[in-house]
Amino acid sequence: MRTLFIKIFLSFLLAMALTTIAYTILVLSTQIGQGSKLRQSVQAERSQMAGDMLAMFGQVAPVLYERQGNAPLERYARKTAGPSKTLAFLFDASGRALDSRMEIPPAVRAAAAEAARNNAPRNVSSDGYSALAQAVAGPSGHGYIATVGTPSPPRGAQLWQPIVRSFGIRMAVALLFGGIIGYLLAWRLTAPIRRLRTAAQRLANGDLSARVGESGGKIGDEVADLGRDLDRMAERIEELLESQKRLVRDVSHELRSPLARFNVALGLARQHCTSAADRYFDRIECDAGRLNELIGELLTLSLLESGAEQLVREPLALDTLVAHVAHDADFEAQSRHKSVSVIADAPLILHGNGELLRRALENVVRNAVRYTQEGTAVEIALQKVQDEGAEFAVITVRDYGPGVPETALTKLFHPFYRADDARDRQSGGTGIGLAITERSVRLHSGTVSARNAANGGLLITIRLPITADVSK
Amino acid sequence: MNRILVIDDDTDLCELLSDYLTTEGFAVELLHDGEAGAERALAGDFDLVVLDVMLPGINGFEVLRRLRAGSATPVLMLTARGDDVDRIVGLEMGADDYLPKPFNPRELVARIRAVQRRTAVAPLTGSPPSEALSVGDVTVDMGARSVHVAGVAVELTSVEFSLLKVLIRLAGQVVSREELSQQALGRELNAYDRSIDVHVSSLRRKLGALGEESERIKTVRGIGYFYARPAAI
Repeated sequence: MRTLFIKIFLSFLLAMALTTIAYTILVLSTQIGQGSKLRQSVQAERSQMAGDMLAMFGQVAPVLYERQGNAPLERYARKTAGPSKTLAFLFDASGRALDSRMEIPPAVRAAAAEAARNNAPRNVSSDGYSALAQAVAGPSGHGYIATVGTPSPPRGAQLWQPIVRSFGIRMAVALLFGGIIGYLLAWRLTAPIRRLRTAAQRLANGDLSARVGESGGKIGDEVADLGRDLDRMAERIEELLESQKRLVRDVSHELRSPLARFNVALGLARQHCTSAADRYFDRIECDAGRLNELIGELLTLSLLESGAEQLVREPLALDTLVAHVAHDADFEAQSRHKSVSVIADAPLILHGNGELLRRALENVVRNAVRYTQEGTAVEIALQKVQDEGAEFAVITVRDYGPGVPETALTKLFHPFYRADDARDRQSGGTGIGLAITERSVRLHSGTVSARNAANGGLLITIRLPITADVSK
Repeated sequence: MNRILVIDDDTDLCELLSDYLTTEGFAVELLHDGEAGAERALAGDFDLVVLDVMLPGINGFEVLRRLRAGSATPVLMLTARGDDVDRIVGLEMGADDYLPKPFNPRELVARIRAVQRRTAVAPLTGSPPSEALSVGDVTVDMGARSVHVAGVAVELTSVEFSLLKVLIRLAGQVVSREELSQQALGRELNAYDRSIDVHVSSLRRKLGALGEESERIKTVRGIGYFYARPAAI
């Protein structure tokens, strides 16, 4: 779930970041665009004003200076300047300032100097000032240069510098809020999905009661719907499997009830008949037993085919499983002067269905016990094998019996197959045991094969991959 | 010592069984319904009840539960063959022995006789002065046939009691399943016979765990069980 969560979260952050950047760019461009226009219009206005002021000042200032002197001139000049920060100065014809007050901006001096030289109105800009100078004449006929200086409107840089500076803060705030909301959004969206997944995993691992329930849907109706659909599916599966199991149980019961009566009736017959009939009764008992075994195995096979049993898986200690089967089989074998022993062992843990694997191994071992010669031991070995990077649990069962013809080796695992009809019917067994083994092993993604062993007898090999827990 | 009640809905089987058991010297009563069966078992004075698992109405386990609520009469359950032993183990049984159907009637008689032997012997071992065995927090009172775990009394079936007795007496030593079968069930253990395992599981559950998840009765694979002695203090 982490990748979806991160995707949503990062997408959200990215959206916030891009929005901030786009917004900033937009603001900047309009500012710059408008800014230059504004500057231009302000510039034009001021020029106009400056021109008007110059004209007026040019007429009045010389007269004042000649009639009244410096001080009144200065007073007048200051008054003219006014609140717009425009400054007016009077220079003599050679460009020398007649004004003794304050600093005269360089632009003004330059304009005056220019006008003095060229005798034409001059407009100079520098250092934040724009100056206009014009040669004028006083009432006495002397020449003067009147100049007016106005501060320049702010440059473009001054307009957009603050915007750029605040960009950093803006981005940080956007990312902060984006982060918080993005996180919450991602969490609310992925949490129900995680719950759905948990329920699905439990179902896959055999817990047929797993449901999403109410926990699946507070956010996003589609997710809630998915949860409900999952639940409906789980119910259906549970129903189907339960009805299958019920069917098998009922069939088992129906088939075995007559057998149960049969057995007791046979017992009664033995009670009331002479021992002359014994061997016939033995025969009947033997076949009744075989019939019973057959019923059991057919039902197992059908359950396996339907997949009803395979769902329950858990970690199994293979060495314990092998030991149990060996112990039980040995018990049975002893009565026939044979034995079963485990010659190799390994502490392997396999994720699978214990019942299925036990039965699978049991069928193979019991078969081996049936065929091995009297006085011999059936040898079981459990080993770990590494093959192309994968690990396998390998169980081998070796008997000292007659073995099986080469051509029949693969057919052994078909239902009802008998290598040698006459002998097999005598030795017992149903013919389905190995088929059940093969199915069970296959359900665990494993393989089972048979070959004739070096010193006689049959060697059956079961290979099971050791997989990690599938729910992880 | 040989009054038997058979509770099974298969009427034909019951008739056959009745004939067979009567020939073997038992006095047999038959019932085909769980409710009636439970009532009769509690009211009557039987030496053994043969109880089928699959009954109409209330099932065999329910009958067993009702019976156990008021009586310690030995019960032999006829189970369905192929039932996962784990399923059985998961249930609170309280039966003394199990026999899957179809069964050999000779086997049934052998098990009935084993139960008889056990219950016949019990009063005798009761008469010596109450011998009480303690291992850790478990006290087994032979005479009173009672068990206490950390002072609290625990209800055990007679088989479970016999089982615990053997394990406690040989605490720390491994007892084979064959030996346990002889001592607790009074009969030999057959191949693929899980009865002892079922009883041990039931016993484990009733006694409870020993502190942090440590089992009181430990399994020795391929051999048997032993009762764990508490770590030396």
